[in-house]
Amino acid sequence: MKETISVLLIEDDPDYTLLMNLYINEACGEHIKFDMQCAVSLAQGLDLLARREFDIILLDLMLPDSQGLDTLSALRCRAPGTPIVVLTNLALENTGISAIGAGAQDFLIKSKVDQEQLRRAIGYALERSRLYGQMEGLASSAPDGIVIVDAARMVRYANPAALALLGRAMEDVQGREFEHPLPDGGASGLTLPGPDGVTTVELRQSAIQWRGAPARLITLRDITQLRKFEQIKAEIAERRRLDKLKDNLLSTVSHELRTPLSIIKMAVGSIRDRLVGPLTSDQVKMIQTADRNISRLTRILGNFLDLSRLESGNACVDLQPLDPGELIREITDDLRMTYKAKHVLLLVEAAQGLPWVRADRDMITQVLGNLLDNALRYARERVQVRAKPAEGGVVISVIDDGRGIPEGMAADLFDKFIQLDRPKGGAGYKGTGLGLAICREIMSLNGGSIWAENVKGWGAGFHISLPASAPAAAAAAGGQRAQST
Amino acid sequence: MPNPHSGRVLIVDDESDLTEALAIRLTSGWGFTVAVAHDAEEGLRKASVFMPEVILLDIAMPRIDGWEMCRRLRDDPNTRNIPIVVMTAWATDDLQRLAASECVTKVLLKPAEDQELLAALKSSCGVARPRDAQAERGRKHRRRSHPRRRH
Repeated sequence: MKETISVLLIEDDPDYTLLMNLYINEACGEHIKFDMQCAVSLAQGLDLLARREFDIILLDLMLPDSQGLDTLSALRCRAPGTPIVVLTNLALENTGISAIGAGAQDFLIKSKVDQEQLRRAIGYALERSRLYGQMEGLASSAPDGIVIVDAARMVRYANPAALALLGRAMEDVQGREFEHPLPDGGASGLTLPGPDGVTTVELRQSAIQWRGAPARLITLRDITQLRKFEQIKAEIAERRRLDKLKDNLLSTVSHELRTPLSIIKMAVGSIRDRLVGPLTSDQVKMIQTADRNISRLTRILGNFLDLSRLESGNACVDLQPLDPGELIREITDDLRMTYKAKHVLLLVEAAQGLPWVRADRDMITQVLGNLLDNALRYARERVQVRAKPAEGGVVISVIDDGRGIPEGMAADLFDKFIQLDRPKGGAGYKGTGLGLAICREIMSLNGGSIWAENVKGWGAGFHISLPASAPAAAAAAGGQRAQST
Repeated sequence: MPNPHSGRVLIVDDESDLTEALAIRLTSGWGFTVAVAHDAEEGLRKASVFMPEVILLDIAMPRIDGWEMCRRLRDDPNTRNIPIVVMTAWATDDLQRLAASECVTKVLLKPAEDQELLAALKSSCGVARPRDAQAERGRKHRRRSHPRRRH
């Protein structure tokens, strides 16, 4: 495709105009075409420039209505970005040089102009036009809005992103005054109606040269998402602050409750043990009820603090390689007497050669203690502890032979203050409703999990999974253990 | 009912209701001889006069707290060997570490179980040099017992 270069010749000598037309036509080639328009006076030239843009102006400095460098200034004012090549007489060569100083790109001595010279001068305009096209391409594809306004705040250029943000078409803005206030320095915010409600735009400006004249480059950036993100961040920070406040309050209240509870417990204990006088059988009954409920309150308080500490993320988790078989033996040995007293059989079935796990010993002891405590409350005759290797670690199960978990309750069991019907009536052990919630938090902190289900031929089964420790860590710990035994 | 014991116990706690209830339990219930102080200054004075076999000490007290009182007891040659049982309502994370560094014999969390309290007092009474037992305690602490988890 041929490229067309538009040329404006301002020349009052018709013979010279004819000559230039000849040269121009000869200069047209396979890939390039020149389209030349002629004006015979400055006024006519300015008139043409007001109606359209040209790629290059060929200017005779001596016109009927204007002479010398004033002619050049008048044109540069009207078309500041268009290159001007000045045509002079040999006698006025110095004027040509002065014209370069005044902003012309080049000058040609009229009597010496030939086709080649003309082509070279126009080639310059072509190159300039191509470079401008590249810049325009860059600006068009920029994700941020770009607007260029001249010294009078008239919009000289706006890229598609700017038009989209401003919600305007090119013809609505080009050549008109920029309708928003410019930032004095740094950045300013602008709220515009957008596709999803309100769009927040950040405006920045800097001084540039645009087509040889001072101008302002205005960038517009859509910061709606950023603002939303900042808002969410602030909300999260606020929620964290409130959570911390709640944790502190809970902790303080719980601790403050311990002292009066301690006093009540001590006083009730002294009455119960008849340290302050004899008691009737009814008084003994009442005081035993009080005593039992003090213990219950103490457990709730302890669990409450445990849970708030676990949930706050302040709990220290000491992950160490552990032998799950040994851990189970230790815990079940400690509980054997308690189970015997309630005539419940405690069975242990641990697979041989279980992989070592990585966990906090005290925390897992607490979880298994809690599960075994629960199992004892619901078991009829037997409770079994099983340990099996599983993908990525070990699963330990505590299974009772009670009546099992009611349908659809298995997942809810781990929520706070959820308790199943108590099998042993009002006088029996009352849980706090927090035990399994604590277990779930602990398992999560240990990188494991906990779940419940009914086990065929048994009652309820509670399972915990623990991740295997790294083989090297297990081997090292195994070695130490071998030395110490 | 536990066996009566004849040891001397100094209770230091700013809660007078608690010291009163504790005193009845320790004297009438368990047969200890008891002295009571309601702040650390009074506790330090009574410790050097009463010469208890064990001090049952609160931590959160006005002016001088329990840890500082431990330090002052250890600085005085007359009181430095008296075993200290701490009984506190505040189960902070560094409780065990602080207790170990102050050579505390035992830490109990309020409200303590009767058996636990009696065992702590009995085992401390008649222990001549608690500092000698520091190594033994060190071994125990490595197993990281958490009093908060016992309740």
